[in-house]
Amino acid sequence: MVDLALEDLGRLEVATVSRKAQKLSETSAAVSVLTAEDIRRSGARSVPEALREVPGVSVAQIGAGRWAVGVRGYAGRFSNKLLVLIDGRSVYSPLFSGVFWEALDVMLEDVERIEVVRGPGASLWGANAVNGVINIVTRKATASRGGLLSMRLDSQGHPAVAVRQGVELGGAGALRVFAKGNELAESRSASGESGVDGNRGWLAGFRMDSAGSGTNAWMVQGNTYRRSNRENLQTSAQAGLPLLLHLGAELEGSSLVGRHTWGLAGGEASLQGYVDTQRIEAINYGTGEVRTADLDFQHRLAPMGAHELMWGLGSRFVQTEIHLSTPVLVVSPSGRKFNVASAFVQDEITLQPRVWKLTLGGRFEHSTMSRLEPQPNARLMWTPTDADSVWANWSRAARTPSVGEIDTQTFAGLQQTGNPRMPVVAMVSRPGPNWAPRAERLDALELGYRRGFGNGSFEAVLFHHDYTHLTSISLDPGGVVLPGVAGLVPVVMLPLQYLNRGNVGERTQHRPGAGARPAGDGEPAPAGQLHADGHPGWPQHRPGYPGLGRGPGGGVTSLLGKPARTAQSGARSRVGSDGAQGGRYRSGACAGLHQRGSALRLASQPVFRACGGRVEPFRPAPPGTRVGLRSLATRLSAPARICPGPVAFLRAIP
Amino acid sequence: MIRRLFGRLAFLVALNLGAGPAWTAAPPGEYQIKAAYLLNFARYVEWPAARLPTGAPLRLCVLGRDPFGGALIGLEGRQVNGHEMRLRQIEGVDQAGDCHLVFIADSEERRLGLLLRGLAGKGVLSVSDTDGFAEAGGSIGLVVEDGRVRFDINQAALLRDGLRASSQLLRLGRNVLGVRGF
Repeated sequence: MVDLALEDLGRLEVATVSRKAQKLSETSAAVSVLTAEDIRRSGARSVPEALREVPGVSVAQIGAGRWAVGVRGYAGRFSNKLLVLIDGRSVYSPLFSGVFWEALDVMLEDVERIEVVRGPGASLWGANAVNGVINIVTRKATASRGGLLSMRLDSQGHPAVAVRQGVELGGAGALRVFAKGNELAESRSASGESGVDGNRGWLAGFRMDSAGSGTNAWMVQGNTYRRSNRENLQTSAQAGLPLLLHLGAELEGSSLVGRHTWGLAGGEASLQGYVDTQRIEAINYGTGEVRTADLDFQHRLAPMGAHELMWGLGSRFVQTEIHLSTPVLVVSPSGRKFNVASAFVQDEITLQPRVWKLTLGGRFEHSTMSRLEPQPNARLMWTPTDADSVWANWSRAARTPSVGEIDTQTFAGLQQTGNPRMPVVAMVSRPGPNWAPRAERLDALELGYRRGFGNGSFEAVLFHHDYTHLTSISLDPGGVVLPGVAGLVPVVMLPLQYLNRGNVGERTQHRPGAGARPAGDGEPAPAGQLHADGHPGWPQHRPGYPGLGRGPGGGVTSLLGKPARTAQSGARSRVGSDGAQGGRYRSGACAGLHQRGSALRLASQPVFRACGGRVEPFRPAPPGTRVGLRSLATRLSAPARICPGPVAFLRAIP
Repeated sequence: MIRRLFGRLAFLVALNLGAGPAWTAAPPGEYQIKAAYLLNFARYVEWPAARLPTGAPLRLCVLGRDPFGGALIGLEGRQVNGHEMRLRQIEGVDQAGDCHLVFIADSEERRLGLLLRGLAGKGVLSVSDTDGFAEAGGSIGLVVEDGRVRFDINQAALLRDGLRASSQLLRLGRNVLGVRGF
């Protein structure tokens, strides 16, 4: 074997390609990496579809282009505890603390890898990396030379075209320009009903990289997109009469990112800056705009004995502007400017080479919208063999409040009371009168075990998450206000009950309201449960109004929506095998058992999640037309979800 | 409900155990091929005489977690162009001073930039299979493409270190970077 000539080595077919478990064995966190090859083979048409491959990520399709993505539960369309980055640029919107998945589009053919960190990653990645981080890394322009034309049409009738051209810039580096357009047709629910929705748009951009001898590297990239999204929203709490709203939105944005990496004091430093602008126009409702400028410096020092130090500084300036022309949502002030300054340091200490490693780190972050948030982190990792690793983590992470939470007053619907003198009450959610907004906090403990096989890995993680200072709502103690809603909803003159938003902390923790339930529920809500979501600045909570039947006028201070403190623990495992027959097909199965409980109500809600198998015929043939059949069934405990059935696709890559 | 749950778990366990042996068996394994490549790189690259005097041993060092699973042991003591090959495991760049060929394991991916910076100008041929290694400034990057192991050569990095790759090596590389200028 070893004596084979160079020519012959290149012709040998590898029976089993390793799944790059090596680098995972060095990571003391629950991390999954989707490589370009994984994405290519999966037949995924969008980032959320690719994320279905990752254990521990809950992905549910709500409609065309609309997704609920969450890590470790808390998956809702407006799940706010997951940070998503594309090449170091945050796509987490400060308007509602979450990601506009309907607007997020990347050229999947040029994605190098998608890293998914489950569990808090705040000390390294910054605020809002509470339950997880999704980091999308695109290929260097030097690695994507030549042209590419990709056309796709699948059995659900979603045409997509992507073009890319790589250009050599003499000895200086390389450039690629790309453009992509696609249309997502109307979605259908499991029962066959049409979603009366749609999503279409385009994306264009470029990326330029310096040619590398590695010592001094730079990168510049920019992109711009425009998407139209329409959907039918059903509001739930309209006195038993569901109200159907047709909402059309135009989403557009542009960004420019630059990064320079150079040697500094025997180590490596990088400076990255970006500007980003996003605009959402909800037809007949108003517009929202966010402009961000961000500067980030990182320095990894040369190892000093057993210590490997890394530190960094970051600064971000955000400007938001919301103009509304709807009575159901009032925002004040309409514009906001805020700064976030942060500093982090991390020390990786090798206690025993390749066996014991201790990582201590912390980040201090100050936002003018919140306050100083220390986010420390300690990780101990034991790697007894090359294949096994065991780790224990303790960390704290923060989720900064959004503009939608701090500044909006929302007509949340009408509520029947059962009281004949006051049969219907209008509910208005607003920031609490004396609320000084602060970040939500997570304290997490994690114990994990991972075993790598030649071409797969097994991972089991036990975690305990303790959330405090959650932004929640409580009934205004003043009770019902009469005559009520005059300015807010001109058509009705009704008694009005305020719901006060705040970081209801320990005070309410011991007061189990009449029916407090976690509304940031771990399951994606079917479209029918959403309010006029998708609205710029719409707060992320979905209040349920349990206690109200007992008489809102009585001033029952029950805790609605999310409880101030919840805890969740769980375990997950995944098995998978890849390329068993010379890479000709791929199969996988995963299952997880998730238990979620609330400190307010000790009864926990078991949620069983299982995703079925998948077999995809695959030939490691030279690039060409690829035909695949993908069948993926995800079973979640809640009913009425759009189920991804078998998808046949045809893709031509000349 | 409980029974169904159990059924599923049992299915999973069965899947795990049943599939286990199939995963571990790996005839012509990826890393056996990669080990053979390392030997060939040592054959087809010429080090400056000051760096590798005639008859001196040629040191192959592995930096990071050794992924070869014993496939490298067959290289120990082999004769390569009149040099005896010696294997060594190293923990950091500071120990790479007397290595001629350094294989950087995937486990070191996060500190790759730092390692390449430390190795630059030391007359070391750096080889790795991390993604985009040659583009990042390494000498030779091993890539798996369509089920075959191929390699990219960064000619600029080789020249900077005074190493000379034979024309045959350059011809067989999938990509040769930095041929023009730079």
